[in-house]
Amino acid sequence: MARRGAMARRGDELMEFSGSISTLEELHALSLMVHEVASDWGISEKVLFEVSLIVEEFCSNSVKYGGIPVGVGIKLADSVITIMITDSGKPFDPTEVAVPDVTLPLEERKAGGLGIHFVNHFADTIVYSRENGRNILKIEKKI
Amino acid sequence: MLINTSQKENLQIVSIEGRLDSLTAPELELWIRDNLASPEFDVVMDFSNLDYISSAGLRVMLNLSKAAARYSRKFSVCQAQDHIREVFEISGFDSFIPLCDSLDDVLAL
Repeated sequence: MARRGAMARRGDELMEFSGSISTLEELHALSLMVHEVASDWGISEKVLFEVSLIVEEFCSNSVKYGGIPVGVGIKLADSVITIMITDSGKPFDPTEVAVPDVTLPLEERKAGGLGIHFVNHFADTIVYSRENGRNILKIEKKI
Repeated sequence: MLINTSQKENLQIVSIEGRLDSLTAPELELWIRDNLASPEFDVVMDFSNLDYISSAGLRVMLNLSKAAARYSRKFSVCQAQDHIREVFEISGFDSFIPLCDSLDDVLAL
């Protein structure tokens, strides 16, 4: 897994981290690294969990089915965490995925769509765009 | 992720330690296939040492809930940390998977 440094300028409150992953093992390792880096930034366990979940839910499909490298960038500035997830796969907008009906009884429940449902709950804004042959997801969360 | 199991009063306790994510969930699924395919007892997942769960882990819980129901066994989760509990609540899974604070509560279900 390529990791392009964690740059922290505490004075400006700008802290950045980026990495690139292409397997589930690398996703798992990235999640652990995000946890380590972000906890150095003084982020609470609860928010760390939510950030890790957001990254995993958006990356796992691309990694499992695409096998293409996914770029992950995380920035903290002015009490907003911004997560950028990019890949050069086929156009795919995860914000269009159907949200599950969480009121269905057990027999009718399916597992699909749970990931996006969690991200909708934990993120403040999610914006998808397609530029220069890349899928770009920008997620923001106020902390 | 570590999986341990023990039995107590006709209850099969499965403890999961660490992270249940897209990488580790298939391992738990295999373990369940090998150990809980036709559950003889009611099953409880002890999540006191579970730090993280994602939709991949929830999928395993859903499948296990359905399997338990098919065999008329109770299935519950015990001692989940707050952020894990929240994931069950957001997904509506708490409507069919009781989230208990202790084994005594599980035994009283």
